[in-house]
Amino acid sequence: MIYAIPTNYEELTLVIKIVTYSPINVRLKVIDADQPNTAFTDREKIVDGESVFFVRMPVSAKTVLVYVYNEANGNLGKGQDSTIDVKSITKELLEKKLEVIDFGNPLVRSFVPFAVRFSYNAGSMPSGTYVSDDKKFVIKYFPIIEDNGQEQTTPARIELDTGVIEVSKKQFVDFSIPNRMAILLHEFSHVYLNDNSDDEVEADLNGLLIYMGLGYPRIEAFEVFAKTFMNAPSDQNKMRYDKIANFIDNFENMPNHHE
Amino acid sequence: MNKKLIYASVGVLALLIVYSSTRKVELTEVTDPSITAKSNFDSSSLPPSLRPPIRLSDSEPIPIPAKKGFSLNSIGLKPRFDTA
Repeated sequence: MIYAIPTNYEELTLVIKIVTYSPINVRLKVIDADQPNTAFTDREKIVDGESVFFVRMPVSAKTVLVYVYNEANGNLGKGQDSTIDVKSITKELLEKKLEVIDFGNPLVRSFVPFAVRFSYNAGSMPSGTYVSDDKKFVIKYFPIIEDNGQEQTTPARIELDTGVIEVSKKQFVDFSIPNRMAILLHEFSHVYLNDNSDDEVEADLNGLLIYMGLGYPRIEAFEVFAKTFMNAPSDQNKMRYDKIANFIDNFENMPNHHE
Repeated sequence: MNKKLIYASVGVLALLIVYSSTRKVELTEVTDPSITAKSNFDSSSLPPSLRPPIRLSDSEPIPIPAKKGFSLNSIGLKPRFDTA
């Protein structure tokens, strides 16, 4: 089933109520109806009976398309798949926690809108060098990231001494907008927020603090770090994943940065 | 009398807030697959906060990004990347 929902570029939470008649793997995708390769979420969950999906959208399109279907049967029209039905879709207010973000830091104020614009359009922008309006930040958008002719598995990296961010278009095209935001904020944190610019865990948590404060979906952060770590399995990445999971679980109880 | 009016106004306001924060969407199923495959997207129709960032032409010099603060690393000659 595909539903067209007018969202008029508003920030909102889409609440999608579904029912299944046996335990099935439900696939949910929310994509921009107009811009190619622009997804707001792409997730799946085993559902048996009624279930509710919350899709947090700090940015949205003019119109989004909501795909809901039984992964095993593929995307069929309403009434053609007796295993699943969509009961309702509602638009609700987006819950944010902006007070945890240090917007007093001019670098944060400059980078966040740059990252949003880059993330929203990365699916259709050509490779090249992109800069923020104030020229404080530079992203080199490469077809792939390589070293000595060897393709690297990382979706993005930052040159620690200059602050230039490199992004792999090959990987970013397949990422959702929240995935892209999580990665860019991680890279930004290395140089501009970390006490120790080499510290991956510190960059993970500093980036996530902004990401979650802006209201982006938790599941998309898990997903993109899991994908990245799967490309480079190691004890350190297992430890990073555990710390990220713990941080996300405890986020709602976190005091703001002034406290 | 005035108090009743104030309470009534506050009640109506609260109802309006609740109503406007939850908007049920009439479900319109899309059956034409062509709607999902637009290749002629024009980003100039986007609001300014969502338009693509500035892309430098090949001949333009790359600006020096902001610095958090001076460090000895910043005068290093060999590029040093994070590892993931």
